[in-house]
Amino acid sequence: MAAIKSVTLKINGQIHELDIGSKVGQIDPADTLIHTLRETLGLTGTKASCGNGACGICTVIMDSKAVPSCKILTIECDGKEITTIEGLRNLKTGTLHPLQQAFVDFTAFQCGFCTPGMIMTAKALLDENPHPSEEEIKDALSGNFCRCVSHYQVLKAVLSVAEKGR
Amino acid sequence: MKSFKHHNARSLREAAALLAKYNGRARINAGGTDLLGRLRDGCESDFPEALINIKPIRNLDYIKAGARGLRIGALTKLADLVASPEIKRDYPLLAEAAHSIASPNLRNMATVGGNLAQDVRCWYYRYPQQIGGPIVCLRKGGRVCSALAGDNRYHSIFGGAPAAERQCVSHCPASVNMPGYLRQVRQGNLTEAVRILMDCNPIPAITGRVCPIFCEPHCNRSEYDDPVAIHSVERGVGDYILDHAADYYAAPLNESGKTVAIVGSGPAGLTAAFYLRKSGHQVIVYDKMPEPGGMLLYSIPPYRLPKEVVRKQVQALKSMGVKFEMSVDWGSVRSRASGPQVGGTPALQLDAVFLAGGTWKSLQLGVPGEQGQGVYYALDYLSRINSGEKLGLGTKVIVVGGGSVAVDVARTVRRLGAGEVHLVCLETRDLASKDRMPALDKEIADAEEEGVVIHPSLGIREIVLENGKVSGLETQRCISVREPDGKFSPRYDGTAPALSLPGDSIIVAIGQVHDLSLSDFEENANGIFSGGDMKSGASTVIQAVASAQKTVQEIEAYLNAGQLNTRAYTESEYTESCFEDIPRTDIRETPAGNRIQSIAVEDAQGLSLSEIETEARRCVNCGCLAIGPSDLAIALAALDATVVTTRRTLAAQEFFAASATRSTVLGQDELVKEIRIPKPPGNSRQSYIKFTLRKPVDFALVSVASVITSKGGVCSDARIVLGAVAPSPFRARAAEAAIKGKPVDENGAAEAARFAVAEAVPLSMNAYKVEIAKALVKRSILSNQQSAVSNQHK
Repeated sequence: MAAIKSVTLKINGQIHELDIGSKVGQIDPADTLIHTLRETLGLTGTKASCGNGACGICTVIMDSKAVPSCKILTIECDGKEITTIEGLRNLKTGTLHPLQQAFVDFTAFQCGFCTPGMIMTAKALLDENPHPSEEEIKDALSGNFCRCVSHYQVLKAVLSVAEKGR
Repeated sequence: MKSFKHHNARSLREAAALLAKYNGRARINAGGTDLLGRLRDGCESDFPEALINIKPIRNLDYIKAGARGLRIGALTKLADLVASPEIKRDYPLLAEAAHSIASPNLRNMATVGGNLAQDVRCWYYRYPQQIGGPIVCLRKGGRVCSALAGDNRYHSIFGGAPAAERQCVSHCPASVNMPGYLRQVRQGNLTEAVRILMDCNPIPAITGRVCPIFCEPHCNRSEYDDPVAIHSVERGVGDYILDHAADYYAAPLNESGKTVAIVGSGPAGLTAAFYLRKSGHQVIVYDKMPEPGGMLLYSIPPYRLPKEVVRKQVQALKSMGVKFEMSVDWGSVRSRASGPQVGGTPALQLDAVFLAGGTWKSLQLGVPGEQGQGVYYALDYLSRINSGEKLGLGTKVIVVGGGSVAVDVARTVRRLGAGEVHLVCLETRDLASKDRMPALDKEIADAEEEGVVIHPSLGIREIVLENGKVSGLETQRCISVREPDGKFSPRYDGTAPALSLPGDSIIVAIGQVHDLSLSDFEENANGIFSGGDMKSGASTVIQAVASAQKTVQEIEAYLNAGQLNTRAYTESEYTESCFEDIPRTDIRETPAGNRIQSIAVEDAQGLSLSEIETEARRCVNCGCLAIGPSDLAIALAALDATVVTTRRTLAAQEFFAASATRSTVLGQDELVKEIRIPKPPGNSRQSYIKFTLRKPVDFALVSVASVITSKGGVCSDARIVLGAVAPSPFRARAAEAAIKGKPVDENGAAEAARFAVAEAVPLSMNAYKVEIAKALVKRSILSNQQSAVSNQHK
């Protein structure tokens, strides 16, 4: 099996073809997805924190599942469809995604560092299960940590979106 | 993160081939949730050359529930285990275990196979590079487990995973299981300790005095303070054995009807006599000397090995039925015996012969003057002295040679009153040199302390005679003893000025070889075997013991007695690793001034039984104290699951049999393929409880998985498995036995819980886990879980 030469990622609807290599702009086999998003592509909306998958802050959606982007090698993402926090608002109108708007309305953050991860995890949950119970939301968000204790507001914000259209 | 080569495998076969190709220098990426963190932190001492991504492999992501049970593909995501309605209904224990792992987002990545094959979470093992790691602990090929005397609050409470190679054992010629018998001594089970020790060495009172101590220099305890005084404990147990000889040298229950002759009653002969007699053979030991013991009696001086000890040892063997015929020449026996290669009368029918005649022939110097009056040879001299003869050597004695026998001779002469004892040898006194004196460091130091003067790096040119009698010797400077490859090939500088030493007598101790007259048989032909020094050349007592052991196995195989003396001792699964801050207690040595008064007084006094018990507690029982990392493992062990790998099908418990370096038995190029779980009995209840500091993400402090089958409130079957308490899933069999047949109620559960932790050996900081384990076992048995997933510990 010959080693692959490049990877193609579809990020927020946009195709990126990246060569494997050690030059600037190329993907090293050891590059994690969070590294590629932030350092190679400049998509700094996704935050990097613990680097061990323990905090949930770097969560992105890959093939419909919320995943920690620090625990994924970019070289293994060939052909994947990835959504980051930058991809949520309506790119033409600039309108925020209902979840983003709910976080603003319920002041579901303080410093905001954990917020992109919270929102992406909640988004994956609602995509799969549009009307989750409070317990289900708590369970889904149990791996997303917040040091400012915004959880109560986060829960309210997500519940408010979940209850819409019920 | 450092870079690596990256491969996408399309099949397990391809992945296995890549693993084989990289020969330990590649890692499998099945999910990445564990691996990438480890690589990022640089906590591995060998960063892999390549990563093999197995996520692209198709058809390994499945959950198939059938009438007989469940099959789960290795690449199934943990999230799918949690979500599966079949698992939730019929295997709630598994669903709950999966749900307890990490966080939902990690479970979207993590796979079943990856979970089973992940590495331990020990913080010493995973000490990151950024703060000074990696730490080369036992698991990484180091000498000790860092948790032993470190912060071990999250480590095993049931002992460590044994190291593949125990240095003390592997350096012992006879491979004595030292940690095994020390453990029994520590627990006061002397009978069991004796059994383990005598499995490999039947004469420990002797080796406990004269062994050059191959083990202690490799004892890992020396990482903390001093090595365990194994030698002193051995001597203590050895003396205990001789004091209770009737118990340990019992005649065999059944006679085999075979007769084996042993020629030579030294350490090899005595060892063989013990094992062969134990197997039920008639054993007759022949020796040319008047008293049994060989070199033990006639060569090793009594201040090192009292004759009394040798005599007791021989007496013990006699009491089990070994016959000794002394002052006989093998040739004369041969002429009256019949059997293998032996003519003569049928009066003495021999089925096998073991030749262990030792090395009794002294090497000669081959220099002018050697035939003069006053020149002696070491073994002849020692055996005459040890037979009670008085030899007048004069006041100034010269010993030639640098080995143990030469030092023994010099010290004996000194004790017998010679005013000056000089030891002249080819080798250097520099003990770090390749050309060092072959005698042991301690012997050399003791000899010097006793006043023996050593003249190193000298060869003998001539023994000077006056009227045919020794008056001294002339030497020449030796510039090199051995070639770089170790071959003995001394070179001299004849021009350099060298010592002229006056002396009244000279004892030559430059080595000994076996007497050829004994070995004129075809070895191994028709039941004739040889061993000990006679076969190997002059060595040590413990090497003779080891050689005799090996030969006895050959003899047993030859006799096909069907009662092979197999080592009955089986290792327990975990080592009883512990660290106690106790200083080393060693044998007590007599001061040099007193030592030189007599050859009959033993140099060192042994330890009491209570002292050896204390010393035995210093053995740390080398093992890795990290706990098994997989939560699924606990569930699988409780559900009696089977793990199918690319090579074999194993019961979960076998699959997770941990060693100090691995948490599973997976080979270097072996991968997990499938998990199979039989359908649990209809009337069983399952429970999985995991106790952590924080609910999501965190690892278990203690977990318990149980399957309790009951009829009318009475337990008919139980499987109780504890997690995070031992290097592998800990099956609490004692607890299972305690609850079986009893009502599943408060009392029954509490009783079972007590049994579950009865064997716990907590470390300095984790006794709290014992209490948690007890509470969880009780709760697990009582939990009323039929088929729904419990919420109580979410």
